[in-house]
Amino acid sequence: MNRIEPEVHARLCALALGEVDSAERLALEQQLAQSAELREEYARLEGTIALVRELEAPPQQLSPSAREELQQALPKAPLNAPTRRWWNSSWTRLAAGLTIAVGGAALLVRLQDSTYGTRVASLEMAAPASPSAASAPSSPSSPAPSTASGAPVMAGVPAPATHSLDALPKLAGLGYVSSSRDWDATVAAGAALAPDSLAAGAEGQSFGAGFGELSQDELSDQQKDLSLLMGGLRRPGESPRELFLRFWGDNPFEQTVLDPISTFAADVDTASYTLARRLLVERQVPPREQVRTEEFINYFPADVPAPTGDTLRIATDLTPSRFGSGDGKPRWMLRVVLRGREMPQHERKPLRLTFVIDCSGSMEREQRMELVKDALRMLVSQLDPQDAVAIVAFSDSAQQLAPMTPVINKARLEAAIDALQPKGWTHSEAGLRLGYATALEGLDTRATNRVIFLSDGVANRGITDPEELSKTVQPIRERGILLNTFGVGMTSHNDALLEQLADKGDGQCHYIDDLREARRVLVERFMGTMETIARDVKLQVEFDPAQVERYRLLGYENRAIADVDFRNDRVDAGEIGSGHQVTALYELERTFAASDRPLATVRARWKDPGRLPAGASAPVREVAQLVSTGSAVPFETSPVGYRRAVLVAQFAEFLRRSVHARGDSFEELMREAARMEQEAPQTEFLEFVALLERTRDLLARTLPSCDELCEALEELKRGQYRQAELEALGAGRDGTLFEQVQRENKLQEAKVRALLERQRAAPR
Amino acid sequence: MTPASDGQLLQAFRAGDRSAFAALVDRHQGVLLRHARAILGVGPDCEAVVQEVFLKLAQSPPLLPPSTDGDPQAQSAHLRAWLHTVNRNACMDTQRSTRRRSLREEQAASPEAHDGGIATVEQADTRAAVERELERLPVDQREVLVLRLLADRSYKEIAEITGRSIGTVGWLVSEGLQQLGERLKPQLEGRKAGGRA
Repeated sequence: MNRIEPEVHARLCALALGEVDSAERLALEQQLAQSAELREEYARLEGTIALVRELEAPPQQLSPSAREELQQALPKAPLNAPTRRWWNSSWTRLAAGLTIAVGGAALLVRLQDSTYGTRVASLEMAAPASPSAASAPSSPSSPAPSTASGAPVMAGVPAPATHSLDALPKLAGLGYVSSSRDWDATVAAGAALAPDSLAAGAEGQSFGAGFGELSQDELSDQQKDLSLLMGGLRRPGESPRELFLRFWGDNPFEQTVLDPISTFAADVDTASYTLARRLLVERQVPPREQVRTEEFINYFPADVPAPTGDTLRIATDLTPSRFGSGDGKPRWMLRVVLRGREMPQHERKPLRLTFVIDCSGSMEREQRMELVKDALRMLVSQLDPQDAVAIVAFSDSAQQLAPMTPVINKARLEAAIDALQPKGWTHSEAGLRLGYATALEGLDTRATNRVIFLSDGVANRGITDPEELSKTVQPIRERGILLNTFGVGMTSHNDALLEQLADKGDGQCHYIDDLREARRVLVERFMGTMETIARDVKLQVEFDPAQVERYRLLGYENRAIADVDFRNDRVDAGEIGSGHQVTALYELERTFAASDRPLATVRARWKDPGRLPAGASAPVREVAQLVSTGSAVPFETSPVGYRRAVLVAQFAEFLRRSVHARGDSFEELMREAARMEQEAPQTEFLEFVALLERTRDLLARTLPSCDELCEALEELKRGQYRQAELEALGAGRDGTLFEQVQRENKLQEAKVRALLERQRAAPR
Repeated sequence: MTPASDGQLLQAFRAGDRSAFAALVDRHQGVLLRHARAILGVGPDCEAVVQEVFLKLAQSPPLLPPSTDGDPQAQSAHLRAWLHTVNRNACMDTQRSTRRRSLREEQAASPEAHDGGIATVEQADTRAAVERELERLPVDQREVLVLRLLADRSYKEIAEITGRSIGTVGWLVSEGLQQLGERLKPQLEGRKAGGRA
């Protein structure tokens, strides 16, 4: 087929779809009249459109069971009447209750944490005008306000206007509601697990089989109740850790006697924070799984001094934890920092950078193109005379705007930057290919050679599949040219391509949402990104069971490595650049056994890339450091960077609706953050403090509360987890305790069942 | 009897009329399922997502802006934009958590799918071919095509739903149709020859 100009083709489509005004219609029809080629294409377009439109029949519908669930979820009261209590609706049975105070009243939530102890936590979302908020109990020992009505308690607020429902689906994420997606699995697992109790609850019906054949009337309340109940029971073969992750979605507290060692890959990515910030500024709560605690922490600048001799150094801090603890047991917080050497300017290799820049039409949005151009100009002005830069632009096709040009020749580069113009398609493949050709042309084996790919991430010409596109990257990497990718002005959902490309190209992926971020990643932190000083970096912390009873790692859920693979050098891990800092936080419960032995041993292992002859394998290095009990200091006097990291981590846990953060006070976090900002001002942290303020109300609306049923279920889950833990510890060691827990769980199960019965019996 | 407008149904539901909600579900479920499928591919997630959208509608129905008072079409457009936006966000959440997309695209890009045997195998079932070729398009193209052709949303509405500019929507439509047209050549030609409507 002869190529029709993309612009013209787009107009033809608009014509065929009735998206043009009459003047344009006339003009296009004239064009069509003059060109047989256009007419042919237009006929084909119309044919294609007709083919797709025929797909419509028969109309798709939700299944009867889905319809039934929806019907169940409908509020019983008119939504126009805000004084009615929505929680009396039958939805409570599934949703287990959630309420949000509008207008900033103190919202009291009776919650329990993973340590089986009950506590009352105050989520002080207090407006100054509400004096009652100040008296809200917040001490762990305060008795819980009565929840007998099944309604959440609003302390001292007589008739709150409640706006409820907005956050209900999120309960599923917290494990309060069993989502319809794993309904069948739940029921099946339940059937396998507890046939007796199932039969009792189900009044003789069989649920394991033939579930799908039931008509919508037969999809009974019992079955829904059962699904809810089963969600709180342990599945066959489920480990305590798996159980915890399924119930609550975070790393659990690990029993040190069972697993004294924690191993994970270093991660210097920060994208999760940048993306979350963007969403929050747009008044959206980021999805739970998008909030990666470690990336939040690592966004903030390094505070531990860089080593001058060795490549990496380990530093640790130990203070009492400022996170809440349910059972009054004091907890501790350990920070482990791995800091990379800063490669001095004169020591660093010259740079050969090939920028491959997306100039497609979509880069026109939100001034993305201008953002990129400004950042490039800044960068070029910062580089050394020994460095060289090439620029390739791509849209419909790729074009070399500047071959590898020494930075001294600034005018040439400026002209190339000025020539960047957004228009047309996104032919990422063409851009990458020409970029690599340009980089190969300018390849200097004594230099750091990098291709830097900037795009808004939506390829729509040539190869568009991320997997396929990545294949073009891999062979070049072997020639020593690495790939870094930068996403410009994107939201969280179209990052797969850039992530995969960077991963395959052994580089990093960053996001740029505004000029400040552009300056940060392309100028201030650029050298660190370019100069990899350690590869496959792994961290391992080994706790002394005699001193640490339980520990939990904050974040790094996806970066876990099997303990035995720490010294397996074929296992891929993270890269660290010049001056980078990796931070991990552990929360600990100590035994208080007097001991002068170290509390923990921290080890780091990595490969030193250095300047190696081709084919030689990089030397492996390992360092270790002991954490002594005597190193503990009060939180208030600990290093500023440590305190910042703890506050940022706490924010991430709030956003993750983490079970570990339940009961912590957001107000307190805000106060402490503001205090920190006063004490030691810093740009990134100032921004963080502002973000906290913007987020407060938004977050208040998405924090769940719990009614009687929901609490009973939580209690059951805790019991189940306890039982699983005891089993793992070897029930024989304390048979009576195990039996007791088992008995309690049975009782609790019966209680949940009774509550479900009661709610069903209640008039709708 | 003219059917009630979206705005009337929404109002009736707010006032407690549950059948109004059912009518809204009836009216919009088809396109929302289609839209979800365009992003997530065929599978059980689509239904869960659309269910979630209607739950959200049941729980906190959008307020229609006063500027649309007395204009059923504007009200309807507002509700549709709301439904599609919520639907899309729910899809993105699901997609992100399951990494379904890369899996599906791998399958779509598998060698079997690229084999040229379209003419012989698929003429018998044009619909299946269209479905399959639609599946093979990049997700952003597929989404706008489904919204434009099957959900009958205008470029402007699609731009609002997807957060893109109208120009970009036009490009994606054009690119998608061009690829589809090339890949569906046998079906198009078969149709011309056979004169089937």
